[in-house]
Amino acid sequence: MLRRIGIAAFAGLGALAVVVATPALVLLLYSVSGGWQSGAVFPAELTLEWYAYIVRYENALPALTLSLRIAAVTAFVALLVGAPAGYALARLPVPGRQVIELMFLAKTATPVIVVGVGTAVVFLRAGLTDTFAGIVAAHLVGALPLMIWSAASAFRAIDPALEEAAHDAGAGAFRTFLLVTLPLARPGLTAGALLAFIYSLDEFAITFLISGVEYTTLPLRLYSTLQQGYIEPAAAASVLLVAPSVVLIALVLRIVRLTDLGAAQGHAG
Amino acid sequence: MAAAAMTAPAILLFALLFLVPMASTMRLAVGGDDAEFNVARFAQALSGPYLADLWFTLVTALAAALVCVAVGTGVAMLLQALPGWARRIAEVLVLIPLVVPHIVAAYAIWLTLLPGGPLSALLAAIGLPGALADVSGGPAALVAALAWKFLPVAALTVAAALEGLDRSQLEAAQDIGAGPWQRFLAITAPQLVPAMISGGALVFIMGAAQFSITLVVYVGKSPTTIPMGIYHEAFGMGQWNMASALGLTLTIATLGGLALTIRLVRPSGAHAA
Repeated sequence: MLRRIGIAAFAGLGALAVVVATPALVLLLYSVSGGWQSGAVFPAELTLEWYAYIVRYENALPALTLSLRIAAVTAFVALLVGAPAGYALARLPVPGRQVIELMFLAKTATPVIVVGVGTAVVFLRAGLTDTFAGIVAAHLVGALPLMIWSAASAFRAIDPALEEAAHDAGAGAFRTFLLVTLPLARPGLTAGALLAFIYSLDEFAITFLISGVEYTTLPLRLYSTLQQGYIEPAAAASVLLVAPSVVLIALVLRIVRLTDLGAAQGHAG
Repeated sequence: MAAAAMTAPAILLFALLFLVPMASTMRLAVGGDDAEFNVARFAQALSGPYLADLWFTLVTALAAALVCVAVGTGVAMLLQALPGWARRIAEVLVLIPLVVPHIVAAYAIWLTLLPGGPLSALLAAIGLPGALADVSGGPAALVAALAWKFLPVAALTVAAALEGLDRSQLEAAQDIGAGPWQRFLAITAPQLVPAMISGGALVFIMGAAQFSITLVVYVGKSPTTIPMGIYHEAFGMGQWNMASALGLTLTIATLGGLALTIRLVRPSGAHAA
């Protein structure tokens, strides 16, 4: 019996590998393909020239730098504003809690293009179109709920007895928070900030609607490359965009469980 | 008092960046050049080509959701059945679509399903008609891209429920001689139904709302998805009022479809339980 389940499970693992890894592998192969005949399973030869190409002709590095800068500022603001809100939601009787939850739910249920159209109109009037601050602001709409969600679950997981002990030992409220609560919540806050960073780095839809002339992020650069039909350079730009996320997700997963990450995706959707 | 001070900046910022644009969208949807209340656009959004687009949007999203729930439930059970090291491999595999940004996911699917492309060649090499995979640009490629990108959402939602499953019932069933299939159908499956519904609902909402993936992987003009229609109206033709009306219609239709699905499915789930 155990043996039969074992064989079925490994067959399932193989099927999962084929379904999930094939598109990723195809993308990777296109990025190093030195010529891929129609009807061939693999490219005829391999090359790294497309990576040099996107650096030389597609301004990939300035776009990557801009994306990283925007993501850093977005994550920082999200942390600054979202961490206290997460603490309050987890620990304190917050007036209008339902209103806050309803607002985030409404954001989850509203298609990004709908928010994008409204944002484009408002930004045009406010002079935020195609600006650094405008892109950060647009990214905060998605990044902030991720940060608040992470912060709230981090603070909720702390045993109040530890804080009470510090209080009994004579520490004031602020000292307790600084020396007990904050260090315990730090991994969760870090995870939240990393998720906000990744969200901003990968954001395409709203950025596409409000930017792209002066401020071209890497996702926008990738889209213009693939729209021009440069198949292999677009694949190389894709790999360049995914690489930082892979490293960062690995960091997040040292803190957050995989199943919780699925829930976070639902919030960011 | 302290709580209000802590949440105020986040609420204000979020209201400014979400509620203000949404208010603008709502005003554009019902307002017009003559600044009168105008609902004609909603009638237009629910008839003719836009109605066909709405169906296309909801049906492709539903198809992706069904694929994700079916495959995702399998993946969740796989994660539990595999021994430690193999489970780690499966977890890394599940992570791939999660880490890949939407446009990159769409582009990867587009390349994979190119006519005469890698998958087509692979199918031909093992004696299957390669044309099965020549679907880039069409509705099948759209569903494939949505399903691939959102598979982890459904899989991880079901996996979380599976982890929290009440094992005592399974053991009791085994004690009275129930086989593995009997145990799965009578005990495990009914307990997973709520997670399958919420995982599927999430995929449905995200699928119906998708813009980036559709932009890259789907080339059809009519029918196309409502998010593409909104983009075309606003940024292609400058029809911001119509774009806004379409946006609100889609939001309401998605939520309505969701409520209906949950109502339709819940009773049978409760019955099975």
